[in-house]
Amino acid sequence: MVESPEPEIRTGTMSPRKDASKRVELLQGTLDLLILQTLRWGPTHGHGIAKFIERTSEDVLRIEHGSLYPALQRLLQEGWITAEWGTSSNNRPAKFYRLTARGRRHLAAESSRWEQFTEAVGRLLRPARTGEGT
Amino acid sequence: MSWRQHLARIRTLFSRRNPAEDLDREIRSHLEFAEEENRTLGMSEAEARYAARRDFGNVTRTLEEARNRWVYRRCEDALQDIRYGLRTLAKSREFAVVSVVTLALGISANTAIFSFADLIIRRPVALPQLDRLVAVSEYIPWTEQQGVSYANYLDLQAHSRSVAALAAYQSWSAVRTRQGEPEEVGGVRVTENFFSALKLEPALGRTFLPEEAQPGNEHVLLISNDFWRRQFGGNPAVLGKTLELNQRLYTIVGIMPPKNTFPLGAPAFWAPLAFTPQDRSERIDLALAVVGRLAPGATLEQARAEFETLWAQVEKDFPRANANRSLRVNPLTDEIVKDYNVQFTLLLLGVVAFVLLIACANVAGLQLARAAGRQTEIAVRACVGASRARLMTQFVTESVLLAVIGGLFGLLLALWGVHLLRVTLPPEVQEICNLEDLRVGSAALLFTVFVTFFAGVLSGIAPAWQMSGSDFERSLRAGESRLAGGPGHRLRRLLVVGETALALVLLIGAGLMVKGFATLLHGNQSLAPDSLLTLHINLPQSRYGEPFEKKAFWDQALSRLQALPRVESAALASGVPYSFYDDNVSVRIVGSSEPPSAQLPVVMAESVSPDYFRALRIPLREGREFDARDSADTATVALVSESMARRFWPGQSPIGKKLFEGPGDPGTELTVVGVVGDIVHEVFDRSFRPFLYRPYAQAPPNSMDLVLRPSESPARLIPVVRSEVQQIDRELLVERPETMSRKIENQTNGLRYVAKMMAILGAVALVLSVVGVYGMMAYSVKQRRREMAIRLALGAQSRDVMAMLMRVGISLALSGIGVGVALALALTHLLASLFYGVHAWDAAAFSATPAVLAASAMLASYLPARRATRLDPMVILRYE
Repeated sequence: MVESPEPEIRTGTMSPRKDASKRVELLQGTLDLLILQTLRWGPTHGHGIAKFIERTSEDVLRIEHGSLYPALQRLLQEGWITAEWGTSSNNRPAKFYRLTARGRRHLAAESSRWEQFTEAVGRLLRPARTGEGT
Repeated sequence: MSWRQHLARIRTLFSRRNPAEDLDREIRSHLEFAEEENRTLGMSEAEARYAARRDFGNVTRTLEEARNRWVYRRCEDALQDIRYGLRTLAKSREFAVVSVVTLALGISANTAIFSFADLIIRRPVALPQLDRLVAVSEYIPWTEQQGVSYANYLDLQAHSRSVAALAAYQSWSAVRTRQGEPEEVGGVRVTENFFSALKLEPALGRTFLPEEAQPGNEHVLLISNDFWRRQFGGNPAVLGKTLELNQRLYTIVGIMPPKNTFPLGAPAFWAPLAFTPQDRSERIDLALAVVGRLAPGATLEQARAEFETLWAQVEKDFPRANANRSLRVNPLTDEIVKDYNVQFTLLLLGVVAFVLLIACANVAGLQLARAAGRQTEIAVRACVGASRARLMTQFVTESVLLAVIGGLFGLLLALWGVHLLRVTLPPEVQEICNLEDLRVGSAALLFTVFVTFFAGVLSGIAPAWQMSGSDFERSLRAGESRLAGGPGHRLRRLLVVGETALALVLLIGAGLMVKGFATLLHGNQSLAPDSLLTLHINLPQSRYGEPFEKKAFWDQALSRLQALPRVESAALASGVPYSFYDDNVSVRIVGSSEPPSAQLPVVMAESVSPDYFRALRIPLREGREFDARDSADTATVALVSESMARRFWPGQSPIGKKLFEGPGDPGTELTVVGVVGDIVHEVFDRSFRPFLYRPYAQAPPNSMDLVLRPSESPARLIPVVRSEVQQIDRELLVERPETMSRKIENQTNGLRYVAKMMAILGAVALVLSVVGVYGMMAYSVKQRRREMAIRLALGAQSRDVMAMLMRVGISLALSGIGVGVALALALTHLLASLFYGVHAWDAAAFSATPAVLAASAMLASYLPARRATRLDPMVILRYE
């Protein structure tokens, strides 16, 4: 059984709200982390997750909404989140995603790894920048 | 992929929930949210919808990707292919039925023959821990005889450490008198440790006690389950009852189980082998078969090394008897499973493999024909994005489906075939396996599964490759019916040529075997075996112990037989040809140049009456035959066969030469008085055996064959001979009354069966290949209908059109025959080396079989061609 290719993270190419130069491409695997982080504030549906990520990052992180769904399926299969159909505030049917205890532990572990990673990358880059500046 | 993801996928595979539907709903809800939001930002309805879609990206792709998280793509595809395949097969029912029947035939033949081969080669006897059993035998290279003498067995048994229990047995046929009618029963005599060594348990009663192996106490029996049921109706009260054998009463102490007995050959009873003091010193006669169970922890190599040492001691102690013999220790299965049996079962497996290949070629041809009609469908699928690999998988799936259905039917057919084998196999096959155990076992089932998938892939792969690679655009534009040749045209022709060639090879092989055995049966024309009646008489030791008593009986019998009207000649011999008579004696030639230390040469010895040579039409080459002069009181004389004369007195006349024969030192002195021609003694002898004939008056044997050449039907003479013999001795049994031809047939039973199977499989191959030619022709005629209609409309004669169409079929058949003959020429040498009497070249087989095949191919092309010319050209031109 050959594994189907991991879906790439698609980023919006034409955003009307943000200048293209300020947008950041998402690194592989970060989307999972962002979704889990979003769900820490409470259960929400796919559209809500997309909006939350965009708003919170002040539109720096732009994601193609469609790419959320394969990621959500993966998280479901890993048992980090659960899903349930419910009704939204404006009385629409929507599927709500909720962080599980397992998911919370995973998020904690992953975010500390992410911090270590960014710190390390930051340390590597900072001296070069300062050298350039002087 | 993590195991959780796999688990989720597997769960989906078995649940009816469709993740895609749910997702679809969810995405729609997402888009509605986005639209609503956009509207609140002040966009128009259309703008809002557009923006929502743009932010989302490709919905189909998302769905597809998300769905792929839940399923195994390949699995899903395969299931889809199977569903699709079943639908298309259901649509072309004729094609499906023919293919399934063809494959079922091929697969069942393979399963049945494999089951047989598995029995013969892998588990001929089902004994506990068979791999720990070894057979021990002395071996005389010159005569290829094997066995162990009584005294040597006792020595080996007493000293061996690596073999825990060394048991011996010998076959023993006894006469049982029932309601005044004597009959012969075949059994076996075994040492007391036989049952424990082989771990055989009686179904009822007990095995032998140690004291029952003492001479005088040995009158106990274990009877076979079959004999128990046939003779005693399976009544357990038979234990303790007596059975009269050779005019002695034997007490039945046990009944053997129905299966898993030993030795092979379906003995009716087991009796104790009691060694007489005379036996205990006998070292020449290889009277015993010896089998042992390796001691715990001992290996075959250790046993071999130990027996080599033991044998060296025996050889040193008794150099005369054991010189130039060697001792062999082999796994018991090796002794039972002869190379020869392996070879002929492998031959049969090869034959059924050929039949399967022909069946596959047939189905492949049918697939191609059908695929040609599906070009539009294939082209559409290719154009909407099915890859070549995907299309091929679809085709192969369809043919594997066919094969699986064919395999299921094939398995049913094989069950019946195996049953048929069990009931029709000649009884002689019991000598090499427990026929009771012949069944479709787990190995055969596994093999069937393998063969089924192999056949499915094999018959699908070529059409798949061919069809998936065609020019789709063109076929879409042109429409299928307009293509003259159609794709796969060349491949189809190749398949027809191939299967015709394979069928011809099988047919020629079968022809050669049938012909070869016929020659063996009827080859010895000078003997005229049809008109020779032979009967066997065995004189019981109790009443005919002394030589003069035996001689008196034989004299009387002979004179009575010779006095019978309408009998050309009557004679006696200790063993007529084709009776498996085998009595080897060692001879010492007086004045021989051979060094005395060498092993004494061995020749076949026979006691005969003077008329024997005349009755069997054996020519006298030199000197004189026996006559009334040669009586018990005169000088002991002998006749030798030409091959014996050549061996011992090369370049000189043996007349007047002297030799010593037989056991003891120096043995009996004989003077050679004549030389007679050589005879074939057994069907499978590859050279003449050296023969030493003695007048029976000077060496009267216990048992002799009566030979009569009547001028009327031999069968009518049988009761006459019986009554003559019983007038001398009421209680004597006249055994095996049969013609010499019957004896020859009995010897070739097994091989004639193989030949018959070859012939049947050859016939199946012929039918399959003719079906192949017919299918090819029918298809090509259908394809060329338009062309034919135009030709006919323009005034061509229907005869010419028919000839044109038939030319295709016939030329293909002829190419197939050409290839087949070449292939057969290469392969029949193998057959000839395997079966004595079968020749690699036979003009009749090489000309008649191609003729039959060509005629069938012609008929197969004629029928579709004739149909083509009967069509109304106008109808075709208007509607196609």
